[in-house]
Amino acid sequence: MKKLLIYLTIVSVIVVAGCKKFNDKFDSLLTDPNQPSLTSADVDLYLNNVILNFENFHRAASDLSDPLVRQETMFGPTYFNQYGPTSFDGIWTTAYTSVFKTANTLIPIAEEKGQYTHSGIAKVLKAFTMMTLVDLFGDVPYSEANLGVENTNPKADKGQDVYAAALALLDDAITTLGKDATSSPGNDIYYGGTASKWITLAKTLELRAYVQTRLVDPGAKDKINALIADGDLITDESNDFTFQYGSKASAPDSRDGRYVGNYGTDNGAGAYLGTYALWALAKEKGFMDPRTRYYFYRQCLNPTDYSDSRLPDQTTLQFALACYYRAVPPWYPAGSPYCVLDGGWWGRDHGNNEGTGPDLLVKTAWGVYPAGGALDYDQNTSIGQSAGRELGAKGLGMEPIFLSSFTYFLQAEAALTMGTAGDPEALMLQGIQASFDKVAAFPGSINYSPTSDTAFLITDFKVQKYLTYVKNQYEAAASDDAKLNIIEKEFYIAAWGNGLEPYNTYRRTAKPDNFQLTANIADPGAFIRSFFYPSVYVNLNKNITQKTVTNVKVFWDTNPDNLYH
Amino acid sequence: MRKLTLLFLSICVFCALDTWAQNTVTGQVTDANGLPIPGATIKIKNSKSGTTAAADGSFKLNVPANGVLVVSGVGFETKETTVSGSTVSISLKQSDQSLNEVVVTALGIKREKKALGYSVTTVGKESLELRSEGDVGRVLNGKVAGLDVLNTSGISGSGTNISIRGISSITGGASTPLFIVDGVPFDGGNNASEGFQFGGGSTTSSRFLDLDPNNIESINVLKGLSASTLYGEAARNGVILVTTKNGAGGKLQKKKEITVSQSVFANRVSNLPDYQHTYGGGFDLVPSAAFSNWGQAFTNPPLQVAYSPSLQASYPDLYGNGAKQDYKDYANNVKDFFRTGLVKTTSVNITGGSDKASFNANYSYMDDQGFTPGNRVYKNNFGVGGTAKLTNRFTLNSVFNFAITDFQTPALGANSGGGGPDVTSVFGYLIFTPRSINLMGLPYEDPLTHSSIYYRGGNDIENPRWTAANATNTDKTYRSFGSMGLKYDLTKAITLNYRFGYDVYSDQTSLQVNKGGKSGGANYVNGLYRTSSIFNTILNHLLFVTYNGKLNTNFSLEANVGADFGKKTFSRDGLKSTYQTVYGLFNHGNFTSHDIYSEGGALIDYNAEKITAGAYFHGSLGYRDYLYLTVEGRNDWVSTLEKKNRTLFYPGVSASFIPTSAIESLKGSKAINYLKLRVGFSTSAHFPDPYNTRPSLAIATNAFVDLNGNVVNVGAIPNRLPNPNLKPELLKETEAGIEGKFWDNRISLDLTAYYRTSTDQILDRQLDPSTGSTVTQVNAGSVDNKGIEAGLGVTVFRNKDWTWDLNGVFTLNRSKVHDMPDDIKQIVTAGFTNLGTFAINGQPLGVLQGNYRQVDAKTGKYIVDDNGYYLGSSDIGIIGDPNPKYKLTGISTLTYKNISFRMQWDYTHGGVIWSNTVRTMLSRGLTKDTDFDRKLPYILPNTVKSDGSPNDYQQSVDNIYFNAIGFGPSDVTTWDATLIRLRELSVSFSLPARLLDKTPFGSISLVLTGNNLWYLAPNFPKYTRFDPESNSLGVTNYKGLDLFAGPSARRYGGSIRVTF
Repeated sequence: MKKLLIYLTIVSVIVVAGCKKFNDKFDSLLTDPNQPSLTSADVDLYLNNVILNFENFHRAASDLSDPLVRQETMFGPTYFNQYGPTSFDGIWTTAYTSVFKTANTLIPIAEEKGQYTHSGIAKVLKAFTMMTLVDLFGDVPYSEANLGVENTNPKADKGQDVYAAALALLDDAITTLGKDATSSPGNDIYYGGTASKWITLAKTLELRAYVQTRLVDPGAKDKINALIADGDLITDESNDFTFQYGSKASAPDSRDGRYVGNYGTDNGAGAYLGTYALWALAKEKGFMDPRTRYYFYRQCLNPTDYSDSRLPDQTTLQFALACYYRAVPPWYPAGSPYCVLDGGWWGRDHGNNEGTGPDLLVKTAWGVYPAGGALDYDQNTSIGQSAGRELGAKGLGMEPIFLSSFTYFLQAEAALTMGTAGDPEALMLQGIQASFDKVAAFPGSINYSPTSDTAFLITDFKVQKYLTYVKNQYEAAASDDAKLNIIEKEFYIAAWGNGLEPYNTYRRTAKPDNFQLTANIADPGAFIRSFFYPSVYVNLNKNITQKTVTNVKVFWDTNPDNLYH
Repeated sequence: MRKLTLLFLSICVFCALDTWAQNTVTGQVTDANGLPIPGATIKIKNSKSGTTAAADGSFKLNVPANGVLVVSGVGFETKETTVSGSTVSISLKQSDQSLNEVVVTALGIKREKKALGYSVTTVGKESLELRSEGDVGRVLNGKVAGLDVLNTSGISGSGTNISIRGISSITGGASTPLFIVDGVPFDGGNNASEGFQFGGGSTTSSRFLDLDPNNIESINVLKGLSASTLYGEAARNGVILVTTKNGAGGKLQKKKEITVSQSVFANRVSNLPDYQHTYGGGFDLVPSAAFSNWGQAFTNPPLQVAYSPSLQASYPDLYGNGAKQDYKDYANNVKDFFRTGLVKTTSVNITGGSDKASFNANYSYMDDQGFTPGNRVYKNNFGVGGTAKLTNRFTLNSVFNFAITDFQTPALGANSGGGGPDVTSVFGYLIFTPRSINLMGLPYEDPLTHSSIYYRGGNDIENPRWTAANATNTDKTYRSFGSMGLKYDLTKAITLNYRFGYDVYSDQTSLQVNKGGKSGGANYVNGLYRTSSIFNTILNHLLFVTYNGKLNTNFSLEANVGADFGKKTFSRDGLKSTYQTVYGLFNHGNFTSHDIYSEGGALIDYNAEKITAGAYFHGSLGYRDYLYLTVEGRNDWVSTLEKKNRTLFYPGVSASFIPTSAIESLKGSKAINYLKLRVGFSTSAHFPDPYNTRPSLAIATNAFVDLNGNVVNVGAIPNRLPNPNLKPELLKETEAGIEGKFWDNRISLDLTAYYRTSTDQILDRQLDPSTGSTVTQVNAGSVDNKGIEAGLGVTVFRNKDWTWDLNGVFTLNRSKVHDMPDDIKQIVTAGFTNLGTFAINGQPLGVLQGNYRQVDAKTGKYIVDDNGYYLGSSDIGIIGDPNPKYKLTGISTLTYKNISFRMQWDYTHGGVIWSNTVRTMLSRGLTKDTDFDRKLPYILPNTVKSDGSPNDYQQSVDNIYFNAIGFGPSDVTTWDATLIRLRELSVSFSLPARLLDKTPFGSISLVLTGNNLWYLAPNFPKYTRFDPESNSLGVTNYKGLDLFAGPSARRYGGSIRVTF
């Protein structure tokens, strides 16, 4: 027994001594060797993060909106079924954990170092993100957000409060950007680090916000007039707020996602384009909009020509193009587009939830503008990566986040509805002209010019014809409401590639008023006035319950509950 | 073989002629109380002749003069009696084998089972050897109460889930028990570098696959937390203590023997859906190249349809120019995709020794071909171990094992069942192949480019045959593990021990996808090659002192004090390349683009190191061989926590009492041969994974390359919020049990009830991203597990020739989550946030939530929308509990002389699974479940419209199935997973030893085995024939989601073993 105690003591001493010796070693294993330490924080790297993630965020907002405004097809068939709550997890996470968190971290460090351009850019992008979250979801966390463990269940702020905070932040950004900066950002993909352009954007975003909230803000007119008088808005193509993609295919894939989803493999076109959008450009005016061949690329010029080897069998075609063999839905008004349009414009009707047919190599795909795909000069060729397929502009697409044409259309809407400065008709025509200029110049800007045949390209002659047509249409319109419809239709066409602006416009104005109805069912339920809350938000935040209906309105939307289709 | 038989026959004849002068003896065999012992064996010493006692214990035998009778009975001590007259009365003493049963416990210390205050289950080599499975985990399935085994897939070599006594940790990773091989920690993890969506868990093996079941002497499963006192926090999920034949040489033995065994099994797919043969691919009764099978009914003569555009383009002469094919039932198109694999195992074991030293060496080779083309496992295991007594006081014991495991499978991503751009998976587009698709009769690749061609018009999905041939996951491991121990006998009672153990392996995994595929998007279809190289080490030093002796006449003490130090390192690096240049070559140089992120987007490079130190004591005080009290405790120091929190002390106490030894009236009782009562309280610790306490930055290089080629790098703050105040977690467990043998040892019972709770868990607490982070680790939430484990053995009858044993194993576990702090709504534990498993206060851990059908309050019926489809909810709710209610295994062993017939039936009651396989079978009209007249309109039964009136929305039946089931709310396709299975059927035969006396053979035995010969999951749609025993979530604590995990395996074949 005595011996045992002695041995026990010896062992204990060894153990205790051993632990002491290893304590330093233990401490050294607490720091993650796989990640850089906090001291390596770098304002430029943070800003790059905000810049790229703002693009991710806006792209997601645009992609979620575009089926609702018939740019791409909505599967549906009901609005209730269109999106499950997980559809919004990505955009939510990007907004809060990438844009906001990184911007919040960056701003104080940058200002301490006098890097005012860095901090100003972060503020502008943060403000844009805040407003867009409200536009999509309604009330969202802001004042209690981004506090980490200090508040694990942030409550939602009222949409108007978030908007107010965003506008204040834009003012703040304008001040910050006006200061002399100690350094310029290295990778400002939007504006090459030019602070003045960011100031112009900030002011334009204020204009956008005032038009957006005009239904609930009696002071909107004065605020808009003040901005117009100030004269520093995006009215010139050189100030367009766009994100230009690269052409690198992998590691990292820097191409436009719409391009990758269509031209990136040999599988053919990914998502279906909306029949309505194809019709609005190719057919509605009775002549083809000169932008049509830039926006859309037809893989197959004649989908009902059975001699085309890509359409081998009538039974297959009957499956792929079931709508073609069916009567127009009885609830469609006369003149409404339906199914495949003459000339091979093969999209998909709104709310057609049938399975994907074997039509990937024949249906119409995204074109050169803005996706970086192909210009349609009647190649009649499928898209894809292998030889003989159409590759287009290799994915050098562009995200039209806010263009000079948009500014004109918003001003036109404001002038018409609120009597702000300027002539609505002239502003609208300026907007159309700006859009044509943008689209026509785009292929050249990415060194893509597959044809010089003016039959396929935008020419002044075609533009003038178009402008004259719309001018006459506008002047012939009987009411302000009809005039507004024409303005918003042109805005809708000019915004191609941006789903968010038309979605906001549609909820604000219910225009354009002839959107295609759902094809497979007569009643798709109430239009989505704001999205369901994201799954990661409702399922992890105690203070939130999911919306149960699709027509919960955003604060700036005072229109009737069931105005839309 | 025939020669051998002749030899045996001649030996038999020789034996029969061998006679002596003799006289007839009659007698009776009784027990200590004078009661007869029927079936007792009476043999004549040094002779082959003998007999068996009748029901009254009587016998009659010819005995030579002065012959010695050797009398034995099961449960009795063998007795020798010299015959001196013509009658004899023999009384046998009840054997106390139960009393002296010795089990190997933690650290390889052998203890008398009666002294243990906790439950240990031993599985002997006879239940492990010569099996068709090379995976120890799967071999153990159903054999141990409280042990739950779930496959990730039927693919040979795919990962395996094992858990003991339920799941204690909400987010602590897979609750795989600690493997201890020959006293040394052994990594049993699964090095999945991807989430389950990318096949993580099923395309990499669970590393206990590196063990060779044929080289295992025994496995002891230590279920309770008390095991962790000696092994530290890693043992909190229980311990699977493996003693290899090489490591069993702890005691010196002089036996010299060579054992050679050879097994051959066929490996076939066990469960394909029972497809209907009436309708073909298409929709709305129109034939077409659809995913769905809602096309027109087959006709005679068959409709003629064109070949797919891709076939025409690749083979214009054969399939172009207007050539047509039959639109008919290609009845075996899916079945014929599979093959019969062969599983061959060769094993050699050599053992020998002298007074001073003994050794064992083992080599085995296994070649396991899966039933899926492209799936196989090669295993090479080599081991040698030995013991040498160096001087009178030193003993050296050393084991060395080396394993090469080479696993290969076609890609196995989770699959949504149609259309979607899922990652490539061999089962993804296979199981729901329309009936009219001639999968096996047409080419699957272009003869020039080798790109996939298939039936779809746009050639937009991958031909499964192409996937099997061109998209491969590989996982190759070189592993060395073993130990060296030195024991010094200080006194007779006190020994000093040191042991060094190591487990070191390199694990090379890859994904190889040739260009020309169709699934997975741009990264896959242009060719993908991802290699990861993992290097994992576990080094362990252990020093301990044992005392084992009598303190006085009444008290004995067994004590053990020790300290250990362990270090675990993990490092992984690798590269992903895309855009293959030349088809067929997998070398990064043959790819044009290189990346540091894996196919799932995770950074491949990762390094982690963790060190642990522990000191423990363990003392067991015995009083007069029937009362034992054990007190133990351990303190751990672990490097993953800040200094103030890195240590935890956790004690345990247990007692055992043997009434049959203590109470005079029970001694020698015939009804109660042995009874032991035990009760214990034990604790264990859980320390977090490394790097959760300190902040760091995240850097992503090459995040974007702009128009002009400028590379943009980004800096970020990680979404995981560090928690410097994180503390270790304490687990507590109370268990009580009864062990007993009754009625002449014919009935044995081992019953345990336990209650385990872990409070203030180390919880990966997910955060609403609007907090700025997505996850942080906190101490919160509790899980209780209570359960019953029972083992019951009954010898139905036993006589001279026949023995029939029945063994039952029962496992019941109920878990409950509680005390989740108010600020946590719920925790997503696996799957997706809108369809997955969750931890919710008051609910069993891992309940399944998803969106669900809305119910009309008045009628209680489901509501349909204006299209006649189920109206789903916008939120999620509980749609079922995937945890089984209980599991039951019945093993019957019937032995006639040297032939043994064994059956193992497993029954699982309850638990639910959301099955995408079944969902797809139904919604696409493939199985006989949908073999009805499809022309008639259809209304979803038992439904009402939103106003409560009866549903009268007619739809075509395919629209209903496609939209209401295929795209309906999740609860529509969630089924009860009750399952009954004939897991194993075997017949074994061993040649009687006396036949081999004159041969070089020590023994020869033959076993014929069939595994998974039949099963039934009665609550799934009948013809889908779904096997719920797989888990698409990979190697994890959670189950309940099937995403085309693929069918399970059926294996049958035979083994022969010969010893020299």
